[in-house]
Amino acid sequence: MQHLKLTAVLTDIPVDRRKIQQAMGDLNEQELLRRITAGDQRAFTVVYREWKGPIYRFAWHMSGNVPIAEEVMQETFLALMQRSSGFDAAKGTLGSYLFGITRNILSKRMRDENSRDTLELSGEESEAASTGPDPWAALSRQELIDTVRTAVVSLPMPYREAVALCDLEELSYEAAAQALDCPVGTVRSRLSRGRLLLGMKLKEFARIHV
Amino acid sequence: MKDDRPIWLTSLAEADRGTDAPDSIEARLQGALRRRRVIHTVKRSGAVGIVAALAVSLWLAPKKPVLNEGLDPADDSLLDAISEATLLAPDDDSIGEDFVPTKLASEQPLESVRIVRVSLPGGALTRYGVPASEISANAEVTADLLVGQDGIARAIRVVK
Repeated sequence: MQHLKLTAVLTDIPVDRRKIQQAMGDLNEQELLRRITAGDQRAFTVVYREWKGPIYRFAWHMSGNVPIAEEVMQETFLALMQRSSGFDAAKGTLGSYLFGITRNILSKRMRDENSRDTLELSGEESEAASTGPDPWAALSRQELIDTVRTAVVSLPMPYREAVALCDLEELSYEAAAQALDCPVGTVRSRLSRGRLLLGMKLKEFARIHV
Repeated sequence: MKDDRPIWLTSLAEADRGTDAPDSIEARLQGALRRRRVIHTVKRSGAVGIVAALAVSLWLAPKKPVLNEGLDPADDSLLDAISEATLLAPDDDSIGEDFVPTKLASEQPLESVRIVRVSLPGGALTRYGVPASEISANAEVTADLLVGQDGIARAIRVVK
């Protein structure tokens, strides 16, 4: 105790939760993740509350199953706590990083599943899908929404990912490409193909049910 | 970006926009994070830090502090204080580590803290709960203490 020497009193700090939340919001994503790895609850809350909705919806649109979406979302944020050091702000945004983790978890879960629908488009089908009566006109709004949601889940995985990220979560092509770890051009082509497939499915549904 | 989505995809996006995860998931994740923080804290502090921390706290206290080891040393107000201290303390490249909670607690709620810079032997630092394998026991080390309004040192960090 006799060795302890007071050299300076640096500052007095009142404890103020609001101020801390605000300051956390001002931190860059890399610093927030560093703090999460160290177990900082406030940093985690800032990141979680910003991204829980988009990540949950992505998992839901991809799986079409609420319990699976909940599990996948939980696994995504647990993974973030454990390996947030994998994030590199120079390579993309935190959002893209989180969508990428979610995608990997979903892929692992679905690896053994058979594709629900392996429908591919020929040139003629593509043409047919882009013309003809609009299924929107024949269905009620709620019917259409439920049908589109089901149709999205039935898309082959690469198209489903592109549609879920770009059309439903409204990510830019660049952000989606970061999340999917592929070139922007690939995202564009998958999105275009996914939309065509969906259009065909909706027309088929309208033909049968309306 | 120009919105070239078919109207049925726009409708689905709008309909699902408000869909959110249940609160129970956040509660579970916060629990996992708390467990992670405890492991992190225990790794960094070490049980033998109590003795040295007590000695320093008694030396700093304006009056004899009331100690209660039953309280959670990493309570919310302390974590708030640590967060804010880290953010507001002078930006100094020589600061190597974050604040580590000590094992001391007080019956008095933490209302304000003071960062006190001290120098102490490396050996005392180790007993304080800071891993100091590369620091000689006799070397003089500069450290910042987060001292509550009751004079008890709640957290410590090394200034290299």
